[in-house]
Amino acid sequence: MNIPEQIQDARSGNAAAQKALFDHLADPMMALCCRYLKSRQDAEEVLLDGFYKFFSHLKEFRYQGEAALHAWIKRIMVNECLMFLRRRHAFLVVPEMTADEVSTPVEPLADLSAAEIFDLIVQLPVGYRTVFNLHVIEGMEHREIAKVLGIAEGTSKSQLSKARVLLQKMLLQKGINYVKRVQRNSQ
Amino acid sequence: MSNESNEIPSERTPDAFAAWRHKLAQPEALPEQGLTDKDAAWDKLFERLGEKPPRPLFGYRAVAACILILLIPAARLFQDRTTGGKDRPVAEKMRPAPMQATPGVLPTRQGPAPLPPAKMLKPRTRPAAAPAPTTPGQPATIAPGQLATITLQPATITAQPASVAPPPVTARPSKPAPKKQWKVVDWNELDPGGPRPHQMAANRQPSLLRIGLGLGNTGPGESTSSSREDESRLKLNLTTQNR
Repeated sequence: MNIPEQIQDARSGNAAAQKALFDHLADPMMALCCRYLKSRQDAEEVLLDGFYKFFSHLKEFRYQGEAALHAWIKRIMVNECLMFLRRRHAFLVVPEMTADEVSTPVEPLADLSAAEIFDLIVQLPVGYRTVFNLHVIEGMEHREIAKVLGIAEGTSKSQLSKARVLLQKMLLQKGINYVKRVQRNSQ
Repeated sequence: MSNESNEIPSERTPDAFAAWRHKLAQPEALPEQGLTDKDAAWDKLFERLGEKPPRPLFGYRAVAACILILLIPAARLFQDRTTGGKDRPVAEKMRPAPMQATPGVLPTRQGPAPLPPAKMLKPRTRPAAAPAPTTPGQPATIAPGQLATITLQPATITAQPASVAPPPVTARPSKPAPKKQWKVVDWNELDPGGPRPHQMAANRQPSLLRIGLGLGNTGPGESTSSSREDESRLKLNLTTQNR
């Protein structure tokens, strides 16, 4: 059974179709939740909340391809993660300040594997991590992030800037001497 | 299908972290971060999907309804106590004045035809005594050991339906009846030669309860002196029996 048929059956309450959709989408969505929330237990709780909303509102969803389905469920999961963090008062209140633009070299970052990238992101503090995830991974603008998180746009920029600086430090600690490489390339 | 199309659309230019985005967006990028026990998670989710969502503020609504139910009669009772029946004259004023029918006056409005007199509500009357099973003229006798059967004939009462309009009448406000002034007289002025009240009380006979068995004519207007009729009646002197 393909995905459109599964969605059609899941809309009418077919448990087998719902289970098939859950099996298909659970792993990538769990990884997404873990990227926002450090604790796997919290991530699993949020995942179930997100899937509950997904199946509850499946009647309103228009299937226009698998990409649209992934985008929709990702949006649901991100919102659930943000709501969870808001409930826990996890966001740090950082005074608004001018963002420092830090130029990060591309090449060494591109060499990292997905698991290494994931480990680096998870080590960031919650405020940095959330803004970094929303801006860099989900592709949201600072204006949108500020609206979603209820912070100023400058705060979002500064959080992202600090996150980048911290990531550079972590990369250096990991022994990736990308700065030297960049200097060598520039010469 | 490209992985880039899965992402939330953004007008942002790709930066140094575009490669990160691309790698993390792949569904099989982080297999170790997936659910460890999918079946258990699905069971939890399936239970939640089967449950009905709780009605918001149901408890508060129930309490508010109970308070309202209790308050309405209490408010009415309090209103009755505070007014002390002052509202009644107002209600009586609002009630239309009694009408008097004037013969010969045509009805002023058209309504449903009045009911025939046979269908009008009759006053409840005592049913006439059943005819005696014996030949007319002879009193009914009950042989010893024979059971007497009492047959009650119900009166035919036809209730007038409430929806029927009253017969057409011409409204004429009635004048309030003048209060009767009772004249106070002495006992001696009524019957000077009659017995005194204490003598009447002394001569009072114990009352008899007569139960007619429906075997003869036992109407109140008929004479009770006949000895035959006396046989067909069961006389119970309650005063003597109680003693």
